Amino acid sequence: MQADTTRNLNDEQQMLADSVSKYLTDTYSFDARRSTANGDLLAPHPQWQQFANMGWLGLPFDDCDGGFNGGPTEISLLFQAFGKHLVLEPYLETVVLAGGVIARGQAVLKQRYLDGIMSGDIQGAFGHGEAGHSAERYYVSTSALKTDHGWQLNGTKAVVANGPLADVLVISARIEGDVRSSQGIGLFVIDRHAAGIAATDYVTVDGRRASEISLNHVEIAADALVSTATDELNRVLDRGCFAVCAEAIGAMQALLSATVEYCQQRRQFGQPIGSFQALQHRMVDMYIALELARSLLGATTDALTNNDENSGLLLSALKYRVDKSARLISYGALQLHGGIAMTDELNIGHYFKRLTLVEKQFGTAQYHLQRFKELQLQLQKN
Amino acid sequence: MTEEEITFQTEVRQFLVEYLSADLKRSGRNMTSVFADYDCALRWHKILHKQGWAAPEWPEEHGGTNWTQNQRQIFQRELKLGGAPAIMALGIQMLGPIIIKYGTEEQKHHYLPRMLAGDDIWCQGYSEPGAGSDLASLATRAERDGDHYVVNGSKIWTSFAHRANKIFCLVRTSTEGRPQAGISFLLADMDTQGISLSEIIGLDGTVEQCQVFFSDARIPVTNLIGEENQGWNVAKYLLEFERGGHNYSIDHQKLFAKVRAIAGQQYAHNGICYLEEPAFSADLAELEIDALALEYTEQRIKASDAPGSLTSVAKLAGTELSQKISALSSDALGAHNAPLQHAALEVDYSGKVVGPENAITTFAEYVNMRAATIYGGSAEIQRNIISRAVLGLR
Repeated sequence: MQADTTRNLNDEQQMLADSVSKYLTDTYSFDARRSTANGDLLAPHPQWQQFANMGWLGLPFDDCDGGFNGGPTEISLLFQAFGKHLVLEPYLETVVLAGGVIARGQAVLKQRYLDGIMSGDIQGAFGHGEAGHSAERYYVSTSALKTDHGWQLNGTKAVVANGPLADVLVISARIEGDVRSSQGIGLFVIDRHAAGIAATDYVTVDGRRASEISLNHVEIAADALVSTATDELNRVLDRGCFAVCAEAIGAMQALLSATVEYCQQRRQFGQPIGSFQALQHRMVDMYIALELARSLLGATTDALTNNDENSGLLLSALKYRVDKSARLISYGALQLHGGIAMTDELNIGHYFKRLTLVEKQFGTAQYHLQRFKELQLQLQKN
Repeated sequence: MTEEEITFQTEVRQFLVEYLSADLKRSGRNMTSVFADYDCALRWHKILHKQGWAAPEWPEEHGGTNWTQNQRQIFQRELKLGGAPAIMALGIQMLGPIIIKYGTEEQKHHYLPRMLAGDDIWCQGYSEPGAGSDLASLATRAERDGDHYVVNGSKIWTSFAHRANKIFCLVRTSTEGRPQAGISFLLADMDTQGISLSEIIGLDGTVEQCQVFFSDARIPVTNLIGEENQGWNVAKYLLEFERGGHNYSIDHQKLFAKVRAIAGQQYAHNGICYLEEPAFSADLAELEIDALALEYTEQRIKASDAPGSLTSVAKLAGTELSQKISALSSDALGAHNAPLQHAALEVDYSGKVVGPENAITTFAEYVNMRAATIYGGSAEIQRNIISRAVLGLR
C-alpha cells in the first residue's frame, strides 16, 4: 500500500513529510511510547525538545511571530505521522489549540508565550468542555466577570488534555448570554499556576494526561482576553478537529497495513488466514473506508488552504467519515488479529483506544452530521 | 410468570437482600468483563454454595437443583441485574458437566464436591499460540511414561490461570489420523513441577489472561477424562453446553440499564440529554428490538431438544449486540471516557471518582467487549458452523 500519492506537495512540504516520517520511524518505537504512557503522571515527554529542535513546534505560526507559515497541508502531514506512530506529545494542545489562540491575541500575550512554545519550554492546554456537556459545542457555564483590572473567572472544565504539564491555559468563559448561547464566549489566556486554579490530574485511557480544572475567583488582566467572537472559538475547534482527523487517518493506515501483514503471516487450517475470502473482503472494506476518509482529508486541506466557502462543510463531512471509518477499521483490525490484539503488548488495541477518544473530540459524528446539513442549507441559500 | 415462579423470584430476592453485601454488590457493579474481582467472586461462590445454589444447572444428585428452565433463568436474571459478582465459571459451568458426563465414579467423587465448594479453582487450557480458531491443530504433547503423561507445550488465553489451582486441558496424545483423533482431555494441578505461567496484561491494563507453559510436566494417567484420544468429543460436548447455557439477553438488560443511566445524564445538544435525543434514542430502540428478537431466540433454544446451530445464532447475535450496546454507553459518555481509573474499580476504593460515578466501567467494558466475538469460537467460526451445518454450503 502506498502512502497518499494524489496530493501535490511542494519541495518543502515533501521534505517535511520525509523528515517527520524518518525521524519518528527511527526514534519513536512502540516500546518507548509504552513506557512513557505507563510512566509517571507528571514526567515530561522525552521527545518534546527534539520536536522543537526539528522546527515542528513553530510550523503553523506566522514568520513575523518567528514561525514557518505552515498551513493545513503541513498540519495534515505532521498529524498523519503522529497518528501512525501513536505520538503522545501534546502538539495538538500546545501548538494547535493554545498556541493557535495565543497567536491571535495582543502582542504582549504573544511575546509572553509564543517563543517559549516554539522553543519547547512552554506547554499549553485548552479548557473548553464541561462536565455532562462535553458534546455540546457552545455549552459554557464558566463565567468571566469584568473587574476594574481585567476579569475574574469562575467555573470548572472537564477533561483538559495535557492539563498536568501545561504552563499556559486557554479557557473559554462566558461573558454574557445563556449557558448554551454561541454568543458571548470569551477565550482567555491564563497562567496555569495563577491563584485560584486547582486541578485533578490523571492518566487517560490512551496513555496521555489530562486534568479536571476548577477556577475559583481567578483574577486576570484585561489583555488575557483574546476574543469574544464565536468565529474565533469555532476557528480553534475546527483546527483541532482537522488535526485529529489527519491523525486518525495515519492511525487507520497503520491498522490496515498491520492487519494485512498479520493475515498473510498467521496460519490456521494449513494456510495463511489472509487466503480466506471472508477475511479478504473485510480487509477490502477497511481499505475502502480508509480511502474515502483520505479523499475528504485532501479536499478539506485544499478548501482550508484556499479559504473556500465550503471548507466548514467539508470539515464536517471529514470528521463524520473519519469517525465511521475509524470504527470499521479498528473493529476489523481487532477481530482479524484475534486475542493478541486484546493485549497491552501489541499496538493494535492502542490505536483503537486513541481512535475512540478522537471520536469524542471536537464534535461527534452525530454533531457533524447535523452541522453538515445546516451548512449545506446555508450554501444553497447564498 | 406462574405463581410458583413469582414465589421463587421472591425467595431469590430475599436471599440477595440478606447475603449480597454492599462490597459484593460493588464488585458486581464494577465488572468490566465476564470476570468480577477474584476475592469477591470466591466469597460469593461460597455463600451460594452454602445455600445449595452454586451450580443450579447440575443434576440434583451432584449438588445441583431440580429447578425448571424458567427458574434457572429467573435466578440468573435476579443475580445479574441485582448486582451479584459473576463466580468463576470455568469449573462449575464448563468442567462440571464434562465430569458428570464422562468422569469415572472416583473422579466425580473427588472433583465435583471441591468444585462446588469453591475449594478448587479451575482454568481452561485449550488455545495455543499456534492453535486458535484451528483448535484441532493443537500441539501440546502428552507422552505416556508408565503411570504418567509427560506434557510439553504451551497454552494461551488461559483465563485466571494466575489464580487457579487446577487446569483442564486438551493435549495431543497421537499424531495419527485426523488432527481431532489424537487429542485427550487431561486435568492437572497448577503446582505440578514443570508447569509455569506468565501473565498477560490486557488492553484495559489489568491481568485476566495468562500463558501457561508445560516443560516435562508429569501428570498422572488417572487425570484423564474419558478415553485417550477421545478428548475432542469431550470438549465438543462442553462447547455445546457453553453456548447453549449462556443467556445473552440478561447481559443485554444489564448493558441497557447502563446506557440509560449515562444517556440520561449526558447532554447531546441544545440541552437535550442523549436519552431524549432523536437519533440516539432511535439507535437505542433499534438495539432493543434486536435484543427482544434474541430473547425469543433463546427461548426457542431452551424449549428445543435439539437446538443445533441456533446456539451459534445466539452466540453471534448475542455477542455482536453486546458490543453495540456497550458502544452506545461509550458514545453517550463523550469526553468522560478519557480518565483511566483502575483504583476506582477496586472494591475497597474510597477516594474520589473523576467524572460521572456510574461511568468508571464504561470505557474498559467497551474495549473488553471486542473480545466477545473472538473467544469461545470466533464470529468467523460461528458463521462457518451455520453455513455448513444449516445452509449446507461447502
